[in-house]
Amino acid sequence: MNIWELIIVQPMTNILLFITMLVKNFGIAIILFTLLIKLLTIPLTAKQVKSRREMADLQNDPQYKKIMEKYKDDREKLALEQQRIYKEKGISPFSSCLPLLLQMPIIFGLYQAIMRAMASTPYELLKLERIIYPFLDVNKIIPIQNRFLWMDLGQPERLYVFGIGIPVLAILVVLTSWLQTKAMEGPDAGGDASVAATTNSMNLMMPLFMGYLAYQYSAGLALYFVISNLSTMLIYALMGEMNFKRLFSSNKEETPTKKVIETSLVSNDNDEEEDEKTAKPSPKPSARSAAKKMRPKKMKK
Amino acid sequence: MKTKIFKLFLLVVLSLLLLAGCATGPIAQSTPGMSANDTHVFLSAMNKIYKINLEDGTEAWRYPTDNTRMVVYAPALLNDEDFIFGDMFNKLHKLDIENPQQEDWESTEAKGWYQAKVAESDGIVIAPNTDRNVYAFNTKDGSLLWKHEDNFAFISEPLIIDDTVIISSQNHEIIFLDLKTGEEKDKPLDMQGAVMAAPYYLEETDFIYVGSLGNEFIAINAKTHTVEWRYEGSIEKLSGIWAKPIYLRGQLIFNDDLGNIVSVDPKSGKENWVLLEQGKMLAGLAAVNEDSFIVAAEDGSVRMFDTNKKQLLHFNIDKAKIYTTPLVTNNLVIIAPLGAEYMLYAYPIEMTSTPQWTFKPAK
Repeated sequence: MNIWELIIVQPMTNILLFITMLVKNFGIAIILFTLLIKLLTIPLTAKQVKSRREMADLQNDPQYKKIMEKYKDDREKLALEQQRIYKEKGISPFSSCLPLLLQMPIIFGLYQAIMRAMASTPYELLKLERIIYPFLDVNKIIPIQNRFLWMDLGQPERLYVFGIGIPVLAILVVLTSWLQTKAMEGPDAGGDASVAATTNSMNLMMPLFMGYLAYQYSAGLALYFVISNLSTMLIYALMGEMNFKRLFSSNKEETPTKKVIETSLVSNDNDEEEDEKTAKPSPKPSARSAAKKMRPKKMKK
Repeated sequence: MKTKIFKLFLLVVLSLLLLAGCATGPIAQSTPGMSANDTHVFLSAMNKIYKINLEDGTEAWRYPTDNTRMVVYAPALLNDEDFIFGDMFNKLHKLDIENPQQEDWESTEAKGWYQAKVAESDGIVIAPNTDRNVYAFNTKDGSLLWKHEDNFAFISEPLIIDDTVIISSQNHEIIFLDLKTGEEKDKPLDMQGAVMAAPYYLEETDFIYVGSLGNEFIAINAKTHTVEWRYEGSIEKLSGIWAKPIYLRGQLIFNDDLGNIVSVDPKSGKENWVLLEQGKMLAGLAAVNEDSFIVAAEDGSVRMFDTNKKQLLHFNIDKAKIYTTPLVTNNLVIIAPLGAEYMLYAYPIEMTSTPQWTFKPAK
């Protein structure tokens, strides 16, 4: 067994199996396990959101815009100036990537744990049996009861209506992925049409790709995708990062004020009053206040 | 707003169409299945079934011949002219063994995968499926005769004795069904763990033998369906049992997944001898002749023992992982590993470490 398996996949699989033993339902176990992992990674998500906002603020900074314009034909000089501004403002352009990078092993591990636990062939069952910790009774765990609602979690999901198999979960995956990417879209490309087109196409292709995976793979994985998307949306909404108005508006209709609102949500406590004054009313006051509650103390400067 | 809702609706419809169109089928890892007649070996591996000449390992045909999508691991049933197998696209096929283009029938009754070899008797095909049903089809036309539902997927080969279907269940039991009606002939026999191994019948004793993942190996009276004996030998705790036993020179020999090989008296269950931990193994043992048998382990090692547990031969197939029980024909021992250079290695039955032929499908 390699290190990845030993420190990530095996413990996660065993936790998932342990939850399954407790709740006696694999579908509910997948939901609980996904939510648990999402909860545990909230500090990382918050850090990522904070860094993203700082970078977004910088994009709107007049001095930064001026430099961008001034050195647009001199990439070397532009890079140097950008570095200087980052240093001045104490921003690390990669700091929003770090929490994401830290989350990646957890997300991959979660995915692999779910796939591993849904073993449906003798070969996969054997592999699962071998990674179960001794304190969990293999005989009580294997095989896992894969039945959940109308689904067999170990197989691609179809809801048969008049003999036609409808991939309900795959459709839900496409929908929730699209809602998530659309409502969490970052700032526009500053008028760069090609970047905007790429973003739009990615925003459409990614949900379809996720849906394709959900259609092809086991229903348990599709269930994980749906719960993961919904919980991510909820967490981001609580952090004030969701803009559901975007669902029914094109990028061109975006108002720049959102970034100002976002900035106010991540600023430190001393800046709060000032932020309240500058920020226009948030479309979702409840989300805004929740975000304040969730703001990690570490964010204080 | 209406336009946006319409766009959203269009997106859903488009994704639905794309999903339906792009489907390439289920993705699951499994192990190759093999079956053979006097002249050919049939290999079920991933998206094809290959018919291979036993003489020289050349390919006679493959099915599907075109790019039709299929995933198949279950060994095919070869019974006179019948060539029946199920795939992981939820279909059961009966083909003409000489001309696979000629499909006698195809059943789409099941909603799950066919992972196990089907059994056939009295014109009835018994097909276990992962949709938690055991199906019975008319061999002639593929029409559904009955189905029996349980709580877990059926993944092991059924056994038919006279008019009784005996099938292992992951629901910690052995089920006895009437061949003609599918009704339970007896109360299911409780086991201590999920039963992955197919039951094995020995005419001499009129017992059925089977092991489970619950550290047990038992003999069941084929008439009364009650436990005759339970293994209680020198191995205090057997590991999971995934394969059928073999019968050689009055000995019943079985193995667990830690590679413990046990020989017992089939009538009493009394232990003759044990070979401890010969390597992790999912594959079962294969009797080569009346005096010796082959053991293939996960690490690619192949060993040959006699009935006095003396090792006669040991070699390794490079880079191989073996999970499929070796297949023994009139003059060959065929091994289907995963991860090795070839899909099949055929050794002369006298056993040497040099294969007589190997098989890798041409592109």
